[in-house]
Amino acid sequence: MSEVKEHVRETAKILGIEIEDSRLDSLVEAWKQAMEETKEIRQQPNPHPTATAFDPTWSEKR
Amino acid sequence: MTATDPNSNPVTIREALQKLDDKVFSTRQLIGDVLTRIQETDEEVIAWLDVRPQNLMEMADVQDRRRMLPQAHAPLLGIPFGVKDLIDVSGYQTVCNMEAREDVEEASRDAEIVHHMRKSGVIFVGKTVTQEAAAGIYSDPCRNPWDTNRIPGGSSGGSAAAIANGTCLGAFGTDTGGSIRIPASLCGVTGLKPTYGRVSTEGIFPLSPSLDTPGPMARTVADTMALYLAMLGSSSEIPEMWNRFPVSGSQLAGMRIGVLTSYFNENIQPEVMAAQENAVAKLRELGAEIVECDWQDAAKARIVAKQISRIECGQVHRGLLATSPDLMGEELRKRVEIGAILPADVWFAMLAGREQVKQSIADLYKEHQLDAIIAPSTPVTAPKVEEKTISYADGSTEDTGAALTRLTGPWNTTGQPVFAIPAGLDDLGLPIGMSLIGRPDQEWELADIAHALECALK
Repeated sequence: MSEVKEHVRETAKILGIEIEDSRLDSLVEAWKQAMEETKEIRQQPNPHPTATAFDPTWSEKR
Repeated sequence: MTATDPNSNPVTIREALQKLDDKVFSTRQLIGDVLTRIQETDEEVIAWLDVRPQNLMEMADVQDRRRMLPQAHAPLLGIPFGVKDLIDVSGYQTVCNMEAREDVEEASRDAEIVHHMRKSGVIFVGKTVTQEAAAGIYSDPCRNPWDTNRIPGGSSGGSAAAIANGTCLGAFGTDTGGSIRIPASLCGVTGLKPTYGRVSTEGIFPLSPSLDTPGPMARTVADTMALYLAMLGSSSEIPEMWNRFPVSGSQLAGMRIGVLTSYFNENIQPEVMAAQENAVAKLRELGAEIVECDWQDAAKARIVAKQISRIECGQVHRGLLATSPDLMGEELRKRVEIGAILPADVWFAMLAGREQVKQSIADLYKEHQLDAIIAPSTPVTAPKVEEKTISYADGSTEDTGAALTRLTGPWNTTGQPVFAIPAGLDDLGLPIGMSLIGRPDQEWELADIAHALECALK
Protein backbone atom coordinates (compact mmCIF):
# COMPACT_ATOMS: atom_id res chain seq x y z
CA MET A 1 0.00 0.00 0.00
CA SER A 2 1.34 3.44 -0.92
CA GLU A 3 2.29 5.92 1.75
CA VAL A 4 -0.56 8.27 0.81
CA LYS A 5 -3.09 5.45 0.82
CA GLU A 6 -1.91 4.35 4.23
CA HIS A 7 -2.09 7.93 5.52
CA VAL A 8 -5.62 8.40 4.20
CA ARG A 9 -6.81 5.13 5.70
CA GLU A 10 -5.19 5.83 9.06
CA THR A 11 -6.57 9.37 9.25
CA ALA A 12 -10.05 8.11 8.48
CA LYS A 13 -9.66 5.42 11.14
CA ILE A 14 -8.67 7.98 13.78
CA LEU A 15 -11.83 9.93 12.93
CA GLY A 16 -13.91 6.77 13.26
CA ILE A 17 -14.68 6.68 9.54
CA GLU A 18 -14.68 3.32 7.81
CA ILE A 19 -13.45 3.61 4.23
CA GLU A 20 -14.36 0.57 2.15
CA ASP A 21 -11.62 -0.73 -0.15
CA SER A 22 -13.77 0.05 -3.17
CA ARG A 23 -13.81 3.75 -2.21
CA LEU A 24 -10.21 4.11 -1.08
CA ASP A 25 -8.60 4.67 -4.49
CA SER A 26 -10.90 7.50 -5.50
CA LEU A 27 -10.52 9.11 -2.07
CA VAL A 28 -6.73 8.90 -2.36
CA GLU A 29 -7.00 10.47 -5.81
CA ALA A 30 -9.16 13.31 -4.41
CA TRP A 31 -6.65 13.80 -1.58
CA LYS A 32 -3.73 14.03 -4.02
CA GLN A 33 -5.66 16.44 -6.21
CA ALA A 34 -6.51 18.67 -3.24
CA MET A 35 -2.88 18.70 -2.11
CA GLU A 36 -1.72 19.56 -5.63
CA GLU A 37 -4.37 22.23 -6.10
CA THR A 38 -3.48 23.92 -2.81
CA LYS A 39 0.29 23.47 -3.10
CA GLU A 40 1.02 27.02 -4.20
CA ILE A 41 -1.18 28.56 -1.49
CA ARG A 42 0.32 26.32 1.18
CA GLN A 43 3.80 27.41 0.20
CA GLN A 44 3.04 31.10 0.57
CA PRO A 45 4.03 32.86 3.78
CA ASN A 46 1.20 33.25 6.25
CA PRO A 47 0.14 36.91 6.49
CA HIS A 48 -0.35 38.56 9.83
CA PRO A 49 -3.26 36.65 11.40
CA THR A 50 -5.31 39.78 12.01
CA ALA A 51 -4.78 41.21 8.52
CA THR A 52 -8.05 41.81 6.76
CA ALA A 53 -9.15 43.69 3.70
CA PHE A 54 -12.47 44.44 5.31
CA ASP A 55 -11.38 47.54 7.15
CA PRO A 56 -13.36 50.77 6.72
CA THR A 57 -11.05 52.06 3.97
CA TRP A 58 -12.14 49.14 1.73
CA SER A 59 -15.52 50.68 1.24
CA GLU A 60 -14.40 54.27 0.87
CA LYS A 61 -15.07 55.45 -2.63
CA ARG A 62 -12.20 57.50 -4.02
CA MET B 1 -47.36 28.22 -23.64
CA THR B 2 -46.54 24.98 -21.83
CA ALA B 3 -47.84 24.03 -18.43
CA THR B 4 -44.61 25.29 -16.89
CA ASP B 5 -44.11 28.39 -19.05
CA PRO B 6 -42.19 30.83 -16.80
CA ASN B 7 -43.66 33.78 -18.68
CA SER B 8 -47.26 32.85 -17.96
CA ASN B 9 -47.44 34.60 -14.59
CA PRO B 10 -44.89 37.43 -14.58
CA VAL B 11 -46.40 39.55 -11.77
CA THR B 12 -43.89 41.08 -9.37
CA ILE B 13 -44.22 41.75 -5.63
CA ARG B 14 -44.51 45.46 -6.31
CA GLU B 15 -47.32 44.92 -8.84
CA ALA B 16 -49.10 42.38 -6.65
CA LEU B 17 -49.11 44.76 -3.67
CA GLN B 18 -50.55 47.51 -5.85
CA LYS B 19 -53.25 45.20 -7.17
CA LEU B 20 -54.10 43.98 -3.68
CA ASP B 21 -54.40 47.59 -2.48
CA ASP B 22 -56.50 48.52 -5.53
CA LYS B 23 -58.69 45.43 -4.95
CA VAL B 24 -57.94 44.11 -8.46
CA PHE B 25 -57.65 40.76 -6.69
CA SER B 26 -57.80 39.55 -3.10
CA THR B 27 -55.20 37.60 -1.15
CA ARG B 28 -57.61 34.65 -1.33
CA GLN B 29 -57.53 34.85 -5.14
CA LEU B 30 -53.75 35.28 -5.26
CA ILE B 31 -53.06 32.34 -2.96
CA GLY B 32 -55.78 30.31 -4.67
CA ASP B 33 -54.05 30.89 -8.03
CA VAL B 34 -50.71 29.88 -6.53
CA LEU B 35 -52.18 26.64 -5.17
CA THR B 36 -53.87 25.85 -8.49
CA ARG B 37 -50.61 26.40 -10.33
CA ILE B 38 -48.71 24.21 -7.87
CA GLN B 39 -51.33 21.51 -8.36
CA GLU B 40 -51.12 21.79 -12.16
CA THR B 41 -47.35 22.03 -12.60
CA ASP B 42 -45.41 20.99 -9.54
CA GLU B 43 -45.63 17.31 -10.31
CA GLU B 44 -43.27 18.16 -13.16
CA VAL B 45 -41.18 20.96 -11.62
CA ILE B 46 -41.05 19.56 -8.04
CA ALA B 47 -40.02 22.83 -6.42
CA TRP B 48 -42.19 22.48 -3.30
CA LEU B 49 -42.32 20.39 -0.14
CA ASP B 50 -44.98 20.38 2.54
CA VAL B 51 -47.57 22.77 1.06
CA ARG B 52 -50.66 22.95 3.30
CA PRO B 53 -53.54 24.31 1.17
CA GLN B 54 -56.17 24.62 3.87
CA ASN B 55 -53.88 26.57 6.21
CA LEU B 56 -52.84 28.82 3.35
CA MET B 57 -56.41 29.68 2.40
CA GLU B 58 -57.28 30.39 6.04
CA MET B 59 -54.22 32.63 6.25
CA ALA B 60 -55.23 34.41 3.03
CA ASP B 61 -58.66 35.18 4.50
CA VAL B 62 -57.05 36.59 7.65
CA GLN B 63 -54.79 38.79 5.50
CA ASP B 64 -57.75 40.02 3.47
CA ARG B 65 -59.53 41.03 6.68
CA ARG B 66 -56.36 42.79 7.92
CA ARG B 67 -56.11 44.72 4.67
CA MET B 68 -59.63 46.11 5.23
CA LEU B 69 -58.74 47.56 8.64
CA PRO B 70 -58.26 51.34 8.69
CA GLN B 71 -54.74 51.23 10.21
CA ALA B 72 -51.59 50.62 8.13
CA HIS B 73 -50.93 46.96 7.41
CA ALA B 74 -47.67 45.01 7.12
CA PRO B 75 -45.80 46.08 3.95
CA LEU B 76 -45.70 42.66 2.25
CA LEU B 77 -49.13 41.52 3.40
CA GLY B 78 -50.37 38.53 1.41
CA ILE B 79 -47.26 37.96 -0.73
CA PRO B 80 -46.68 34.22 -1.38
CA PHE B 81 -43.18 33.30 -0.25
CA GLY B 82 -40.98 30.17 -0.24
CA VAL B 83 -38.34 29.05 2.25
CA LYS B 84 -35.44 26.82 1.22
CA ASP B 85 -35.64 23.58 3.16
CA LEU B 86 -32.41 24.32 4.98
CA ILE B 87 -34.00 27.08 7.02
CA ASP B 88 -36.17 26.48 10.09
CA VAL B 89 -39.84 27.43 9.94
CA SER B 90 -41.75 26.72 13.14
CA GLY B 91 -44.02 23.70 12.72
CA TYR B 92 -42.21 22.39 9.61
CA GLN B 93 -39.45 19.81 9.31
CA THR B 94 -36.05 20.96 8.04
CA VAL B 95 -35.05 17.87 6.09
CA CYS B 96 -32.32 19.43 3.90
CA ASN B 97 -33.05 16.70 1.33
CA MET B 98 -31.14 14.28 3.61
CA GLU B 99 -32.32 10.72 4.13
CA ALA B 100 -30.87 10.84 7.64
CA ARG B 101 -33.23 13.70 8.53
CA GLU B 102 -36.43 12.28 7.04
CA ASP B 103 -37.92 11.76 10.48
CA VAL B 104 -36.48 14.87 12.08
CA GLU B 105 -38.85 16.72 14.40
CA GLU B 106 -40.61 19.83 13.20
CA ALA B 107 -38.73 23.01 14.07
CA SER B 108 -39.96 24.49 17.34
CA ARG B 109 -39.08 28.04 16.32
CA ASP B 110 -38.40 30.14 13.26
CA ALA B 111 -34.90 30.90 12.01
CA GLU B 112 -34.11 34.54 12.71
CA ILE B 113 -34.64 35.61 9.08
CA VAL B 114 -37.99 33.77 8.97
CA HIS B 115 -39.02 35.46 12.22
CA HIS B 116 -38.31 38.85 10.65
CA MET B 117 -39.97 37.91 7.37
CA ARG B 118 -43.14 36.79 9.14
CA LYS B 119 -43.55 40.32 10.52
CA SER B 120 -43.53 41.71 6.96
CA GLY B 121 -46.85 39.95 6.26
CA VAL B 122 -45.75 37.37 3.67
CA ILE B 123 -47.56 34.04 3.45
CA PHE B 124 -45.26 31.02 3.65
CA VAL B 125 -46.40 28.70 0.87
CA GLY B 126 -44.10 25.89 1.99
CA LYS B 127 -40.50 24.71 1.93
CA THR B 128 -38.57 24.62 -1.34
CA VAL B 129 -36.40 21.75 -2.56
CA THR B 130 -32.64 21.95 -2.05
CA GLN B 131 -29.67 19.79 -2.98
CA GLU B 132 -28.85 17.21 -0.29
CA ALA B 133 -27.39 19.23 2.62
CA ALA B 134 -27.07 22.16 0.15
CA ALA B 135 -23.87 20.56 -1.10
CA GLY B 136 -24.18 20.74 -4.88
CA ILE B 137 -25.86 22.26 -7.89
CA TYR B 138 -28.48 19.75 -9.09
CA SER B 139 -31.28 20.18 -6.49
CA ASP B 140 -32.68 16.82 -7.53
CA PRO B 141 -35.60 16.03 -7.92
CA CYS B 142 -36.47 19.66 -8.78
CA ARG B 143 -36.44 20.60 -12.48
CA ASN B 144 -36.04 23.83 -14.42
CA PRO B 145 -39.43 25.34 -15.40
CA TRP B 146 -37.92 26.65 -18.66
CA ASP B 147 -37.23 23.07 -19.74
CA THR B 148 -38.00 20.29 -17.31
CA ASN B 149 -35.31 18.10 -18.86
CA ARG B 150 -32.80 20.50 -17.35
CA ILE B 151 -31.57 21.26 -13.84
CA PRO B 152 -32.65 24.40 -11.97
CA GLY B 153 -29.15 24.77 -10.49
CA GLY B 154 -28.47 24.64 -6.81
CA SER B 155 -28.48 24.38 -4.07
CA SER B 156 -31.40 26.85 -3.84
CA GLY B 157 -32.93 25.26 -6.95
CA GLY B 158 -36.44 24.87 -5.57
CA SER B 159 -36.61 28.56 -4.61
CA ALA B 160 -35.52 29.74 -8.08
CA ALA B 161 -37.77 27.23 -9.88
CA ALA B 162 -40.79 28.20 -7.77
CA ILE B 163 -40.33 31.90 -8.55
CA ALA B 164 -39.69 31.27 -12.25
CA ASN B 165 -42.76 29.04 -12.39
CA GLY B 166 -45.01 31.67 -10.81
CA THR B 167 -45.79 29.63 -7.71
CA CYS B 168 -44.44 32.31 -5.36
CA LEU B 169 -43.19 35.87 -5.73
CA GLY B 170 -40.09 35.58 -3.59
CA ALA B 171 -38.08 33.04 -1.63
CA PHE B 172 -35.08 32.54 0.60
CA GLY B 173 -31.91 30.91 -0.66
CA THR B 174 -28.51 30.38 0.89
CA ASP B 175 -25.19 30.80 -0.89
CA THR B 176 -21.91 29.09 0.04
CA GLY B 177 -20.30 28.67 -3.37
CA GLY B 178 -22.99 30.11 -5.65
CA SER B 179 -26.20 28.51 -4.38
CA ILE B 180 -28.32 31.64 -4.85
CA ARG B 181 -26.66 32.98 -8.00
CA ILE B 182 -26.43 29.71 -9.95
CA PRO B 183 -30.15 28.81 -9.75
CA ALA B 184 -31.06 32.49 -10.29
CA SER B 185 -29.00 32.41 -13.48
CA LEU B 186 -30.34 29.07 -14.74
CA CYS B 187 -33.99 29.88 -13.95
CA GLY B 188 -34.00 33.53 -15.07
CA VAL B 189 -34.72 35.13 -11.70
CA THR B 190 -32.96 37.65 -9.47
CA GLY B 191 -30.92 36.86 -6.38
CA LEU B 192 -28.80 38.72 -3.87
CA LYS B 193 -25.89 37.17 -2.03
CA PRO B 194 -25.36 39.78 0.67
CA THR B 195 -21.97 40.54 2.20
CA TYR B 196 -20.80 37.56 4.27
CA GLY B 197 -21.86 38.01 7.90
CA ARG B 198 -24.47 40.67 7.12
CA VAL B 199 -27.47 38.35 7.57
CA SER B 200 -28.08 36.00 10.49
CA THR B 201 -27.62 32.27 9.90
CA GLU B 202 -29.30 31.36 13.19
CA GLY B 203 -31.74 28.49 12.58
CA ILE B 204 -30.17 27.55 9.24
CA PHE B 205 -28.57 24.12 8.78
CA PRO B 206 -24.86 24.75 8.09
CA LEU B 207 -22.89 23.70 5.04
CA SER B 208 -19.75 25.74 5.59
CA PRO B 209 -20.25 28.24 8.40
CA SER B 210 -17.47 30.61 7.38
CA LEU B 211 -19.01 31.00 3.92
CA ASP B 212 -22.78 30.40 4.36
CA THR B 213 -24.80 33.46 3.40
CA PRO B 214 -28.62 33.59 3.29
CA GLY B 215 -30.22 35.91 0.78
CA PRO B 216 -33.45 36.81 -1.02
CA MET B 217 -34.58 35.74 -4.48
CA ALA B 218 -37.38 37.29 -6.56
CA ARG B 219 -38.26 38.50 -10.06
CA THR B 220 -36.76 42.00 -9.93
CA VAL B 221 -34.03 43.90 -8.14
CA ALA B 222 -36.57 46.11 -6.32
CA ASP B 223 -38.55 43.06 -5.13
CA THR B 224 -35.32 41.42 -3.97
CA MET B 225 -34.35 44.48 -1.95
CA ALA B 226 -37.81 44.63 -0.36
CA LEU B 227 -37.27 41.06 0.82
CA TYR B 228 -33.74 41.95 1.93
CA LEU B 229 -35.12 44.72 4.14
CA ALA B 230 -37.72 42.33 5.53
CA MET B 231 -35.21 39.60 6.34
CA LEU B 232 -33.10 42.13 8.23
CA GLY B 233 -36.12 43.12 10.33
CA SER B 234 -36.54 46.49 8.62
CA SER B 235 -39.75 45.87 6.69
CA SER B 236 -41.22 49.20 7.86
CA GLU B 237 -38.82 50.85 5.39
CA ILE B 238 -40.27 48.99 2.38
CA PRO B 239 -43.02 51.48 1.38
CA GLU B 240 -40.40 54.26 1.11
CA MET B 241 -37.91 51.96 -0.56
CA TRP B 242 -39.95 51.52 -3.75
CA ASN B 243 -39.18 55.16 -4.63
CA ARG B 244 -35.49 54.33 -4.83
CA PHE B 245 -36.15 52.07 -7.81
CA PRO B 246 -38.14 54.00 -10.45
CA VAL B 247 -39.91 51.69 -12.87
CA SER B 248 -38.54 53.76 -15.74
CA GLY B 249 -34.93 53.01 -14.66
CA SER B 250 -32.08 55.35 -13.77
CA GLN B 251 -28.71 56.59 -15.01
CA LEU B 252 -25.24 55.53 -13.88
CA ALA B 253 -23.18 58.61 -14.66
CA GLY B 254 -19.97 58.71 -12.65
CA MET B 255 -20.00 54.99 -11.91
CA ARG B 256 -17.00 52.83 -12.80
CA ILE B 257 -17.74 49.21 -13.62
CA GLY B 258 -14.97 46.65 -14.06
CA VAL B 259 -15.03 43.92 -16.69
CA LEU B 260 -12.67 41.12 -15.80
CA THR B 261 -10.47 39.45 -18.39
CA SER B 262 -8.60 36.08 -18.50
CA TYR B 263 -10.12 33.76 -15.81
CA PHE B 264 -13.61 35.22 -16.35
CA ASN B 265 -13.40 34.87 -20.13
CA GLU B 266 -12.24 31.27 -20.37
CA ASN B 267 -14.65 28.56 -21.54
CA ILE B 268 -17.78 30.68 -21.64
CA GLN B 269 -20.74 29.68 -23.83
CA PRO B 270 -20.73 32.14 -26.80
CA GLU B 271 -24.28 33.39 -26.11
CA VAL B 272 -23.32 34.09 -22.48
CA MET B 273 -20.31 36.08 -23.65
CA ALA B 274 -22.53 37.98 -26.10
CA ALA B 275 -24.99 38.72 -23.27
CA GLN B 276 -22.14 40.15 -21.21
CA GLU B 277 -21.07 42.37 -24.13
CA ASN B 278 -24.67 43.54 -24.51
CA ALA B 279 -24.92 44.29 -20.77
CA VAL B 280 -21.65 46.22 -20.88
CA ALA B 281 -22.93 48.26 -23.84
CA LYS B 282 -26.08 49.07 -21.85
CA LEU B 283 -24.01 50.16 -18.84
CA ARG B 284 -22.05 52.49 -21.14
CA GLU B 285 -25.30 53.92 -22.53
CA LEU B 286 -26.41 54.58 -18.95
CA GLY B 287 -23.31 56.71 -18.43
CA ALA B 288 -21.07 54.27 -16.56
CA GLU B 289 -17.40 54.13 -17.34
CA ILE B 290 -16.26 50.62 -18.23
CA VAL B 291 -12.84 49.53 -17.05
CA GLU B 292 -11.18 46.35 -18.27
CA CYS B 293 -9.08 44.78 -15.57
CA ASP B 294 -7.47 41.49 -14.70
CA TRP B 295 -7.77 39.93 -11.25
CA GLN B 296 -4.76 37.64 -11.01
CA ASP B 297 -6.03 35.85 -7.90
CA ALA B 298 -9.42 34.71 -9.26
CA ALA B 299 -8.39 31.06 -9.63
CA LYS B 300 -6.81 31.10 -6.18
CA ALA B 301 -10.00 32.58 -4.73
CA ARG B 302 -11.96 29.72 -6.25
CA ILE B 303 -9.63 27.08 -4.78
CA VAL B 304 -9.83 28.68 -1.34
CA ALA B 305 -13.65 28.68 -1.36
CA LYS B 306 -13.77 25.08 -2.56
CA GLN B 307 -11.37 23.76 0.08
CA ILE B 308 -12.82 25.76 2.98
CA SER B 309 -16.28 24.59 1.98
CA ARG B 310 -15.38 20.89 1.81
CA ILE B 311 -13.33 20.96 5.05
CA GLU B 312 -16.14 22.67 6.99
CA CYS B 313 -18.72 20.39 5.37
CA GLY B 314 -16.54 17.46 6.46
CA GLN B 315 -16.70 18.70 10.05
CA VAL B 316 -20.48 19.25 9.95
CA HIS B 317 -21.24 15.76 8.65
CA ARG B 318 -18.39 13.49 9.76
CA GLY B 319 -20.45 12.11 12.63
CA LEU B 320 -23.05 10.93 10.14
CA LEU B 321 -20.32 9.55 7.90
CA ALA B 322 -18.94 7.54 10.82
CA THR B 323 -22.29 6.10 11.88
CA SER B 324 -24.54 5.94 8.80
CA PRO B 325 -22.66 6.50 5.54
CA ASP B 326 -25.36 4.60 3.64
CA LEU B 327 -27.80 7.39 4.41
CA MET B 328 -25.69 9.84 2.41
CA GLY B 329 -25.90 10.38 -1.33
CA GLU B 330 -22.69 9.74 -3.25
CA GLU B 331 -21.92 13.40 -3.96
CA LEU B 332 -22.29 14.45 -0.32
CA ARG B 333 -20.44 11.39 0.94
CA LYS B 334 -17.44 12.08 -1.30
CA ARG B 335 -17.33 15.71 -0.22
CA VAL B 336 -17.49 14.80 3.47
CA GLU B 337 -14.88 12.04 3.19
CA ILE B 338 -12.28 14.27 1.59
CA GLY B 339 -13.20 17.25 3.75
CA ALA B 340 -12.82 15.22 6.93
CA ILE B 341 -9.39 13.79 6.18
CA LEU B 342 -7.54 16.77 4.68
CA PRO B 343 -4.66 17.76 6.96
CA ALA B 344 -4.80 20.83 9.19
CA ASP B 345 -2.13 22.65 7.21
CA VAL B 346 -4.53 22.84 4.24
CA TRP B 347 -7.12 24.47 6.49
CA PHE B 348 -4.72 27.06 7.89
CA ALA B 349 -3.26 27.77 4.46
CA MET B 350 -6.78 28.37 3.10
CA LEU B 351 -7.57 30.80 5.92
CA ALA B 352 -4.37 32.68 5.15
CA GLY B 353 -5.14 32.44 1.44
CA ARG B 354 -8.55 33.98 2.05
CA GLU B 355 -6.99 37.05 3.65
CA GLN B 356 -4.54 37.41 0.75
CA VAL B 357 -7.36 37.12 -1.78
CA LYS B 358 -9.48 39.70 0.06
CA GLN B 359 -6.54 42.07 0.01
CA SER B 360 -5.90 41.54 -3.68
CA ILE B 361 -9.52 42.24 -4.69
CA ALA B 362 -9.57 45.30 -2.41
CA ASP B 363 -6.42 46.51 -4.18
CA LEU B 364 -8.04 45.94 -7.58
CA TYR B 365 -11.13 47.99 -6.64
CA LYS B 366 -8.88 50.72 -5.28
CA GLU B 367 -6.48 50.78 -8.22
CA HIS B 368 -9.29 51.07 -10.78
CA GLN B 369 -11.66 53.03 -8.49
CA LEU B 370 -14.41 50.51 -9.15
CA ASP B 371 -17.97 50.75 -7.90
CA ALA B 372 -18.74 47.23 -9.11
CA ILE B 373 -17.60 44.43 -11.39
CA ILE B 374 -19.77 42.68 -13.97
CA ALA B 375 -19.28 39.02 -14.90
CA PRO B 376 -21.47 36.14 -16.05
CA SER B 377 -23.13 34.30 -13.15
CA THR B 378 -22.54 30.95 -14.84
CA PRO B 379 -20.43 30.13 -17.90
CA VAL B 380 -23.27 28.13 -19.47
CA THR B 381 -27.08 28.03 -19.40
CA ALA B 382 -29.02 25.20 -17.70
CA PRO B 383 -27.45 21.78 -18.40
CA LYS B 384 -29.60 18.71 -18.98
CA VAL B 385 -30.26 16.54 -15.92
CA GLU B 386 -28.00 13.76 -17.19
CA GLU B 387 -25.23 16.15 -18.31
CA LYS B 388 -22.50 15.47 -15.75
CA THR B 389 -19.80 17.19 -17.81
CA ILE B 390 -19.90 20.35 -19.92
CA SER B 391 -18.23 20.32 -23.35
CA TYR B 392 -16.73 23.53 -24.72
CA ALA B 393 -16.08 24.78 -28.24
CA ASP B 394 -12.33 24.10 -27.93
CA GLY B 395 -13.04 20.40 -27.24
CA SER B 396 -12.28 20.57 -23.52
CA THR B 397 -14.69 19.30 -20.87
CA GLU B 398 -15.41 20.23 -17.27
CA ASP B 399 -17.39 18.60 -14.48
CA THR B 400 -20.83 20.29 -14.40
CA GLY B 401 -20.57 21.22 -10.72
CA ALA B 402 -17.11 22.68 -11.23
CA ALA B 403 -18.28 24.63 -14.29
CA LEU B 404 -21.31 26.14 -12.59
CA THR B 405 -19.39 27.25 -9.49
CA ARG B 406 -16.34 28.49 -11.42
CA LEU B 407 -17.49 32.12 -11.63
CA THR B 408 -19.40 32.28 -8.35
CA GLY B 409 -16.94 30.66 -5.88
CA PRO B 410 -14.34 33.45 -5.91
CA TRP B 411 -16.88 35.94 -4.50
CA ASN B 412 -17.63 33.64 -1.56
CA THR B 413 -13.96 33.80 -0.63
CA THR B 414 -13.94 37.60 -0.78
CA GLY B 415 -17.36 37.80 0.93
CA GLN B 416 -18.53 40.67 -1.30
CA PRO B 417 -22.23 41.28 -2.08
CA VAL B 418 -23.31 40.00 -5.49
CA PHE B 419 -26.53 40.69 -7.40
CA ALA B 420 -27.48 38.06 -9.98
CA ILE B 421 -29.94 39.30 -12.60
CA PRO B 422 -31.38 37.81 -15.81
CA ALA B 423 -29.67 39.07 -18.96
CA GLY B 424 -31.43 37.52 -21.93
CA LEU B 425 -31.90 34.08 -23.44
CA ASP B 426 -29.61 31.75 -25.38
CA ASP B 427 -30.40 30.17 -28.77
CA LEU B 428 -32.44 27.44 -27.03
CA GLY B 429 -34.53 30.04 -25.18
CA LEU B 430 -32.83 29.34 -21.82
CA PRO B 431 -32.06 32.18 -19.38
CA ILE B 432 -28.60 33.74 -19.12
CA GLY B 433 -27.53 35.39 -15.85
CA MET B 434 -25.16 38.26 -15.11
CA SER B 435 -23.60 39.09 -11.76
CA LEU B 436 -22.76 42.52 -10.41
CA ILE B 437 -20.19 42.35 -7.65
CA GLY B 438 -20.09 45.25 -5.20
CA ARG B 439 -17.99 46.51 -2.33
CA PRO B 440 -18.50 44.93 1.12
CA ASP B 441 -21.61 46.18 2.93
CA GLN B 442 -22.71 48.29 -0.05
CA GLU B 443 -25.77 46.26 -1.04
CA TRP B 444 -27.83 49.39 -1.74
CA GLU B 445 -25.29 51.02 -4.04
CA LEU B 446 -25.00 47.68 -5.82
CA ALA B 447 -28.80 47.39 -6.09
CA ASP B 448 -28.92 50.83 -7.75
CA ILE B 449 -26.56 49.60 -10.47
CA ALA B 450 -28.36 46.27 -10.83
CA HIS B 451 -31.74 48.01 -11.09
CA ALA B 452 -30.50 50.44 -13.76
CA LEU B 453 -29.08 47.58 -15.80
CA GLU B 454 -32.19 45.43 -15.30
CA CYS B 455 -34.40 48.25 -16.67
CA ALA B 456 -32.04 48.86 -19.59
CA LEU B 457 -32.06 45.16 -20.52
CA LYS B 458 -35.86 44.92 -20.62
